[in-house]
Amino acid sequence: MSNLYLVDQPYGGNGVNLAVQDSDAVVVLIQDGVYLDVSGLSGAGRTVYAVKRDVERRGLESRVPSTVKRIGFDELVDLIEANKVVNFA
Amino acid sequence: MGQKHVLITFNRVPYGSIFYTEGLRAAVGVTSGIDEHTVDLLYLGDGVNFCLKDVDRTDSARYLTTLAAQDVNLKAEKEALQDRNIAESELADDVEVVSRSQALELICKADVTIDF
Amino acid sequence: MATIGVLLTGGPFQYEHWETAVDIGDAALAKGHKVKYFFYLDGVYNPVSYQTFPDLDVMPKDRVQELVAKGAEIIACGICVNARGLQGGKDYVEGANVGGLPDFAEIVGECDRLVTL
Repeated sequence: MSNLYLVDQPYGGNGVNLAVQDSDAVVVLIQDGVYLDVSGLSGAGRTVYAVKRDVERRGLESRVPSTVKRIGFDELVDLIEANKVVNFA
Repeated sequence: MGQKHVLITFNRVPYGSIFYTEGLRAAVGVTSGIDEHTVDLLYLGDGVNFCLKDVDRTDSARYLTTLAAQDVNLKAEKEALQDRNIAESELADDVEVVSRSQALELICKADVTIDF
Repeated sequence: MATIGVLLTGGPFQYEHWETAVDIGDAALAKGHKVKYFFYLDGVYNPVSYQTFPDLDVMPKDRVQELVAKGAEIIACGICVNARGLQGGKDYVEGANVGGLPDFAEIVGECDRLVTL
């Protein structure tokens, strides 16, 4: 069981800062969280997901890095079930 | 049912919105149920501004008093204080400064987390 | 199967957290999980049955009602409800109940996971 950081704006950066240091972190960007710079997370080797609809609606398909895995709510629920949720949304 | 350990994080500046005090009301509510959950209060990012000693606590004092009686203190992240040029001497007496690594330990210790 | 608690503080018609909260609940219920919501702060506006808005075919309250029909439990904070003049939730959609923070404490005790939005 990993720590699943659910991250949105305006203060999702607080969660990102912790997740960078947390070797057991998995991060999901939701809503405006998809605007966050996740290079630090990817650089630290963390798996980052984003809610596909939230990326698409904002026209960010080409701007959110391809290393960020797009997921639907079905997969989000599986991640929630399998991990401890750390809320920053 | 069962007792859980709950980490409540405060991420917004005090005033301007009511999250800083309604989050404390929720903290008291969570600890007063039949399961007797325990809580840690962690101030992160802009939330650390609540920890300044001169912040008006009129709206939050009764929740803090109740929580203090359960030995719950306020924990403020050191890195967040540094980023905002807040010295430890500017903080209220009931604030404990914790490093980001210690904040992470609080996350790992918690069964559930709530953010305000 | 898991019990997923959801604390929703976001109201309708200004922010979209309620929609994420409902979509997570829908997906979780479809997988056979139990879902229990506690509406806090402006979250308590979501179940008001008189919602109308020309740009939306489906109102937040309709989604709340669908969740109830699929088995979700919904409790709103009574202090927040009355603070906003919602008079004990008298105009809530069927199945959305008014309670208090002790109910939230119970959800915290029962849930395997808690999501806050």
